[in-house]
Amino acid sequence: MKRFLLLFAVTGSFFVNAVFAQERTISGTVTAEDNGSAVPGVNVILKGTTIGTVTDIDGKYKLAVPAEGGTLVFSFIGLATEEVEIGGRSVIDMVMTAEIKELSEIIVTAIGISRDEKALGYSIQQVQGDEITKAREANIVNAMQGRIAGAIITNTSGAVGASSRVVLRGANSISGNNQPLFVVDGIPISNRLFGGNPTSGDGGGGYGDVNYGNGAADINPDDVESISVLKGPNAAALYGSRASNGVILITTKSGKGKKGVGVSISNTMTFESPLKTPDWQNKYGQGSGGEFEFVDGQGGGTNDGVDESWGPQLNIGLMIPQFNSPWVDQNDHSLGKQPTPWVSNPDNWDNFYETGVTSTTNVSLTGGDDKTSFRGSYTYFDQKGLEPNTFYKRNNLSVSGSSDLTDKLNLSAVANYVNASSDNIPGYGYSAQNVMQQQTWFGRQVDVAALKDYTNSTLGHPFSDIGLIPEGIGGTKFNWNYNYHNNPYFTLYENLNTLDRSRIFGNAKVAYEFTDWLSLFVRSGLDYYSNTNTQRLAAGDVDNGYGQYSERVEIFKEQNTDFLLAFHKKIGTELDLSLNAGGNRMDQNFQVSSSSADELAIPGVYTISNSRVAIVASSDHQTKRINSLYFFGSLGWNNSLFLDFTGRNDWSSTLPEGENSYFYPSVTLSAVLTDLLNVESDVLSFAKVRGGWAKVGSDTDPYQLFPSLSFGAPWGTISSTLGVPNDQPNDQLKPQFVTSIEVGANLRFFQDRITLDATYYSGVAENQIISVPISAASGYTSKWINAGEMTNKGIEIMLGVNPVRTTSGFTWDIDFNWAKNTNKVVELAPGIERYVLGSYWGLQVMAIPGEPYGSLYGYDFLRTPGGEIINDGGVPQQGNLSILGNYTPDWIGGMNNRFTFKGFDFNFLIDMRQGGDIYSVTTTWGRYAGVLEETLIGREGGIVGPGVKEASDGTYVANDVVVSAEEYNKAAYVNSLHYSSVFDAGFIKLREVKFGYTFSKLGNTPFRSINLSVVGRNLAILKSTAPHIDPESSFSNTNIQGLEYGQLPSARSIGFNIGLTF
Amino acid sequence: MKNLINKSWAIFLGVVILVSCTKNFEEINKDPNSPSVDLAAPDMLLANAIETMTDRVHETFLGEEMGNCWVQHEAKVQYTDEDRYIPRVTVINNTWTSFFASSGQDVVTLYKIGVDRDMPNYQGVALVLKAYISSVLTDLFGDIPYTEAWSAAAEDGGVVSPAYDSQQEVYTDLISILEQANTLLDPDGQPISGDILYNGDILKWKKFANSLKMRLLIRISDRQDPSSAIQTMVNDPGTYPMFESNDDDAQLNYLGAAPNNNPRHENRKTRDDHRVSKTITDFMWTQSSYVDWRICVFADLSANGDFEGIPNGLTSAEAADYNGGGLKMSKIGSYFSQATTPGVLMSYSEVLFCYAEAAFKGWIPGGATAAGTYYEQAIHANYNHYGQDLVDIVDAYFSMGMTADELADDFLVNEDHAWNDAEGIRLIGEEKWITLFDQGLEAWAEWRRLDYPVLVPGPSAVLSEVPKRVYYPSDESARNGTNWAAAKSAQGITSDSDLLTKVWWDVN
Repeated sequence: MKRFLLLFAVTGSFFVNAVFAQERTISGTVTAEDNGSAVPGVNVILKGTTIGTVTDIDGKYKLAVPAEGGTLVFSFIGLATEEVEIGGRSVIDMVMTAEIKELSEIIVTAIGISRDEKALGYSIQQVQGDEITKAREANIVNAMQGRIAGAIITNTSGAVGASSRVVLRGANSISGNNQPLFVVDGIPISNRLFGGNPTSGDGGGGYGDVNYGNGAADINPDDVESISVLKGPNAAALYGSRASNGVILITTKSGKGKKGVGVSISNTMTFESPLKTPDWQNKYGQGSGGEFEFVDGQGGGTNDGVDESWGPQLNIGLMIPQFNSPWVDQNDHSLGKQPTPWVSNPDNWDNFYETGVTSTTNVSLTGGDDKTSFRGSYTYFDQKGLEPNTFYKRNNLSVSGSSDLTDKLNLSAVANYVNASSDNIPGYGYSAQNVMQQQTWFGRQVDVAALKDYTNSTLGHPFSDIGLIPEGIGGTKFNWNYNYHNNPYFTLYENLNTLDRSRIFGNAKVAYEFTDWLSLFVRSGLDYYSNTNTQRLAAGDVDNGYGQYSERVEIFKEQNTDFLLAFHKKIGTELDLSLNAGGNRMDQNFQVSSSSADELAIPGVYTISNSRVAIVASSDHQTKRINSLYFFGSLGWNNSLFLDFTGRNDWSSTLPEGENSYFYPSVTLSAVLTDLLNVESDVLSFAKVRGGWAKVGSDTDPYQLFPSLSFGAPWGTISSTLGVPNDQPNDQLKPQFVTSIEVGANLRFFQDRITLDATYYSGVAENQIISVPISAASGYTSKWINAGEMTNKGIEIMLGVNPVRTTSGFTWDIDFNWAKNTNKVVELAPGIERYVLGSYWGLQVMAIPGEPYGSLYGYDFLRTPGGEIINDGGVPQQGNLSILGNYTPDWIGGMNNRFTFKGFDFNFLIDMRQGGDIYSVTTTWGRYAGVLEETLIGREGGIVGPGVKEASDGTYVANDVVVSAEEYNKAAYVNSLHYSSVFDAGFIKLREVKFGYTFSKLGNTPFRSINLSVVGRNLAILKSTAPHIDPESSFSNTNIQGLEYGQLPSARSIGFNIGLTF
Repeated sequence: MKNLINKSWAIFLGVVILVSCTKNFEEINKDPNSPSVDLAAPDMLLANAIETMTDRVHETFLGEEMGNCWVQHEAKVQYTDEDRYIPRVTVINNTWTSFFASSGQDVVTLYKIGVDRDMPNYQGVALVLKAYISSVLTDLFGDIPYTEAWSAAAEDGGVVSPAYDSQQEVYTDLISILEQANTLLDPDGQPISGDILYNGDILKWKKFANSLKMRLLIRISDRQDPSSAIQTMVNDPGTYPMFESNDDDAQLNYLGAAPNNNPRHENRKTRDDHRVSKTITDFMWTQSSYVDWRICVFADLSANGDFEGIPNGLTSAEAADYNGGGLKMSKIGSYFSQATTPGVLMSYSEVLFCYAEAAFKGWIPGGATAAGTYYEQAIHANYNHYGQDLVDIVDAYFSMGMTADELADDFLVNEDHAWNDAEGIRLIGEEKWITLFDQGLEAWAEWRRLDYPVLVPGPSAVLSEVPKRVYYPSDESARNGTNWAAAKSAQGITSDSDLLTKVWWDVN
C-alpha cells in the first residue's frame, strides 16, 4: 500500500516549482482532525505566489520561502482550506478538518449538472449511495422503497433475479411505459425487462413464465455515489421523450475529492426466508368427496388423479395407499400400493424452502490529486434462492477516471462491465413449471421431503407405466400426482432456466473551458448488452414428455452522443446568468433471436440441433433514432430569486414525416423568501417557494406506421406461413405530450431541526399514442391512434425532524415522506369505453374513464337489487361484470428513524401503502382445491352460504340450503368469479433495520475506519388484510399489476455487513 | 494550438447540427421483420388461415368442451364447469378474436390479394373460408358484425366498432358469396398453392363451396324455404358439383408433430379431463337394441372393459365418484386423439343427410323413399369414413370379419335405426348427430335445429336446458359497447351471460 501512496506523492510533486532563491525552509506535518492520521497530498502554497509543495506519504512537507513574512495555504479537496501566517516559525504543523457542509445541499440535476438545491424550482430527492449498500437489495430499484416520496416501488416476488417496478407520480401512459428513465452518469441505460416480449419490451403473462429481471438491476449499489430522483416533467424535461415519467439519475462514485489512495473492502452477507406463506389446513388430505386411494396417481385409483384436498380426514388412524407407500408387489405395479398411515404434514411446504444466502463483496480503489483521479471497483454478488437449486450471480467491474490534461481541457471516462448469470431461475404463474403452483393444487398430506429423490426407482413408476410418456424413453418418475404436476424437485433440478448476460455501459467525455465563463463538452455513451436465456424441460416432463430446449438471445445497443456549450457569468453583483445549448443523437438497436427444439430426439442433450421435430426459430430487429437540440438557462438574482427555463426539440424516426419534429419547453421560478425579506428568525430559518410549468413530448416504438404481415409457424414442408397481425398500424400518428405544473415550498425551522418540503403537482397526458383495443370483428384487436387523456394530481411531503441532538453527540433524526397521487383516466378513444391492459383468469386490468388507472374488472356474484348474493342450490352464481378494485394505492408513505451516538448508528424504516387492490388467485385455487385453512369451515356439517335464494313465489328469502364445503368453495371460488378473490393490497411493513458501529480512531492500524452493522430488510408485515400472501406482489414490472398467483413469497432478509477503509 | 482546438469544436458543432435532421428516418423506421401486403405470398397466407380456422373449430375449450360436451358426445370428468354450462369468459373472447381477427382477417386479406393480382382461384377459396368462419360465428352468437366487419383499414372505411347484422342478413350474404365463389373457382384456371386442405384441387373447393351452401340453406330452412336454391344446385351438378365421396371431405389432415398436430392430441399430452358421454354410449351401445359399431371408434374400453360413458353435467366430485371412479369410464376413442387425426370441417356423409332431409321435406324430388336411400348412404359413408380403423377395432373386440359397408348394413338392420318414413326427421336428427361425432359445433347447431336426439342437461348443470347460444364476449362490451347493446336488445337478450335465447334460425 505504501508503494501506491508514494507513487502519488511523487506524481503530485511533479507540478511543483521547487527551485527559486532560497531564503529559509519551513517544514511540518499535516494530520487529520478526525483520526489524527497523516494526510498525504495536501497542497501547501505560499499565498499569492506559485511557490508550493505537497505533503508526502507521512504527511510531511518542506518548503523554501522568502526570508520575511508570508502566509501558507493548506488545501485538499474535501478538507477545509487553512491559512497560517508564517511569522518567525520554521516548523508549522497543521491539523485539517473536514470541510463543513453547507446547509443547502448540492444536488445532481438533469444533464448531470450539480446545483445548489436552493436554486431549484422543482422537487428533487436524493438518496446517498451509503444508504443502500449496507442493508442491500439485489435490485437497486427496491433500495429506494420507502425513501422517495411518491415513488411506488413493487418488487414482484422473492425469486432470485426478479424484476421490480417503479412509478413516480402515477401512471401517465395508458398503454406505454410508465416507469422513469434511468440515467447513469449522464447516459440513459435500458430498464427493459429481460426475456420479455420482443415487440413491446414487456412480458408478464401469469400463465407460466420466468422472471429474468429488469435492466436497472444491473446497476451496482456499491458504485453509486448518489441517486437523484427527478419526479416530474419539470425536473426531467431536458431528457426528452423518455423522461415524461421522471428520471432516476444515478451518479457513480469517482476518485474525485479523495485524498491520496483509498481502498475499501466491504462484505454483506444476508440470509433469506419467506416473509409470508399461506395458511394451510392440515385436517384433510388429498382426494375428492372425502375419498382417496392411490393406485397410479392418474385417476386409476379412487380420486388419485385429483390434485385437491377434499379427501379423507387425516390423523384419525386411517390406513390408505399413498404415492410413497411400498408397492403391493414390486414386480406388478398394477396391484397398486400398500396402505400406510394417513397423517398430516403441516410443514411440508415450510420445509421445502431453503434458507436463501446472499453475499456481496466489494473492493474499491480510489486515488488522485488535484488534476487526476481514478476509481476502480469490483463487486461479486452471489445469491442462492429460497427454492432449491435456484441461483443468481453478478460481477460488476467499474473503472472511472478523470484528468485535467491542461488547465482548460479535461478528459474523463467511466466504464462498467456487468456479467449476470444464473444456472436456474424458477418459473412463476399458472404453470406446471412453477413449483409454487403445487402449493395450491396439492395433497395436504403429501410429505414433500419424500419427493427429493425424484427418480426413486423403488417407489416410483417406470416411464412405461405412465401412458402420457412417449414410448422408447427410459426412466423413472416419482411423484404424488402424475396427471398435472412434475415432482417439484424434478422441476427445479432438471428443468433449468438459465441466464447469462454481459453488459457494458459507460461514457467518455471531453470538456474544454474556453474561459471561466464559457465551456463545452462532448460526450459519447454506450449501453450494450447481450442476454442469453435458455430453458429446458427434461424427458418425462408433464408438459412435454420428450423434453424440450429453447434459447433466446437479446442484443441491445443504445448510443448517445451529445454536446453542451455552457455560458455562465455574473453580471454586476446581483445577477447570475447561465445559458446552455446542446444536442443529442440517440441510436437504439434491439434484436432478439430465439429457437427451440420442441421435442428432444435424445433425452438429456440440450441443444437446438437435438430436435425430433422441426426446429422453430424466429428473429426480430428494431432500430430507432432520435436527434435532439436543446437549451436551458438560469437567471439568478442576489442568490435568492431564480428563473430557470428549458426547451428541447426532438426528431424521432418512429413518427410519420411531417409529424416527427416536436418542441417542448419548461419554466420554473423560485424565491428564497428568508433572503429576499431578510428574515432573521430563530423559528423560521429558511423559506423558499417555487413554481413551474413543463411540457414533455414523446414518440412511439418503431414500425407502428405501415401494415405488414407476420410470419407464423410452419406447416409440414411449408416452412413458414403468413398471417395478418392483430395490431393495426397508423401512418397518421402524432407526438404525444405530458404537461404539468408544480408548486412547492421548502421551509426550515429552529436552526434547521425541522425541514419541510411540500409539493403540489398536476399533470395531464393527452393525445397519447396508444394501441386501443378495437372490436375483433374489425379484423384487428387493436389499433394505434392518438387518443386518451389521463391526469395526475398529487401532493408530496417530506418532513425531517431532529427531535434530539445532545452535546454528547446523540442525535435522533426522523424522515417522513408521504405522497398522495390522484390519477384519473379522463378519456380513452372515441367509442372505447374500457381499455384492457391485461387479463388473468378472465379478470381484466383496465383503464376506465372516470376511474384511476388500473381497475380490476371482473365478475361479481349474482345479486339482488339490494346487493345480496343470490344462491341457487345453495351456491352463489356468476353475476355481472363490474369494477372490483384498483391496483393504484390511495397514498404511500415512509418513515425512517435514525439514531446516532458516537460511532453507533441505528436506523429503521417503515414503509406504508394505503389502498390499492390485488386479485389473488392463490385464494381462488387454494379454496377451490381445499388446501387453505378456511376451507375447514363446514367440512363436517356443510355450509349455508351468506345471501338469499329465490323462493317459489319469486321473492328472495334467506338462503338455508346446506351444501358441502367442497361444493360451496368450488362454486364461490371458481375462476370465473373474481369478486371473492380481490383484496385490499394496503400494508405497513418494517422495511429495513440497520444497526452499526464505526471504529474510526484506529491509531496505527492500516485502517482508516471499520464499520460493522447488522442489517435486516423486509422484516415484517405489520399490517395487511390480504390473506395468505404479501400484497406487494406482481407477475412482472409491466403495467399489468394487481395480479397474484404462485409467486415465490417475498423474502425476509437478515444479515451483517462489514466495511473496511484503508 | 488553441485556435485549432476552437476551430475543431466549431466544425464538430456544425456537423452535429447538420445531422440533427431527419435524414434516413424512413429507412430506419422500415420494418425489417415482416413483409408488406404487396410482397406477401398468398399461399403462405392461405396455409395459415386454414390451419388457424380448423384448430379453432376443434380446439379443446370450444369444439370439444362447448361443442362435443354440450351436444353430449363427450363429458368432462374433471374441472367440469363447461359441461355444467359455465363456459370460460376467456374462451368466448378467444373464439371471437380468433375467427374474426386471425383467420377471418387472413382470408379477407387473401381475397384482396386475389383481386389485386387477378388470381380468381385464391378469391374463390378465400370466400369459401370466409363463409365457413362467418357461419360458425353466427351459429354461436346469433347476430354478428358482418357488413362492417373486417373494415378497420383506412381504405376499407376505418371501421373499428362495426355494427351487428341480423343473422338473416348474414346468412343471405354467406349464401351469395358461396355462389360467387363457385363462379370464381375454375379447375382450369391459375393453380393455387399453400392449400393444406385440398392440395390445390380446385374442383374439390367448388364441391366444398356448394356443399357448404347446401348446409347453410338447410340451416335456415325453418325460416326460409330453401327448395328453389337447392333444386338449382341439384339439377345442375356440372355447374354446382357437390361432395360425391369421402374423398371430397373437407378435413385438415393434421401432421404428426406440434404445432401441426391435432388439438386433442396436444391437449391429451397434459390433460385427462374428458370421457365419452353416457348419452352416446347409451344410444349406441348400452340401451340400443342393436349395436352401432362406430362406438368401437368413438370410445375406448373403460377400466371395466366396457363402453361406459359418464353423464354430462356432474360436478368434479360427482364425476370422480361416479360408478366407483369416473376416471375409469371410457375415454374418447384413441382414433380421435392421434397426432394425425383429421380435423373435419364438412363430410360427404353430412351432404347425404342434407339430401335425405331435402327429399323428405320435398325440397328436391323423391320423397320419403329417396330420403331413406340417402339416409342409408349417409350412414354407409360415415362407416367408410372410419373404414379400416373401424374394421380393425371391431375385429379386435368382436372378431366380426366384416367390411365397413357390411358393418353399416349390419347396423341398419336395427329396427330403432333402420329407415322408417314415419320417423324420418327423428332418424335424420339422431343419425346426423352420430355422424357429426367430434364435429361438436356443427352437431350442436344441427341438434338445435332438428331437436333430435332429446338431450337433457346433466344433474348438476346450472341451466335447465341445453344452451341455445353462446353469450357475447366481454371484450365486445368494452370495445364495441353501443353496437353490442343494440345487438342484444335486437334479439331480446337481457343477461350478459345468456345461453338460452335462441338464434334466429332456431325456430323450435
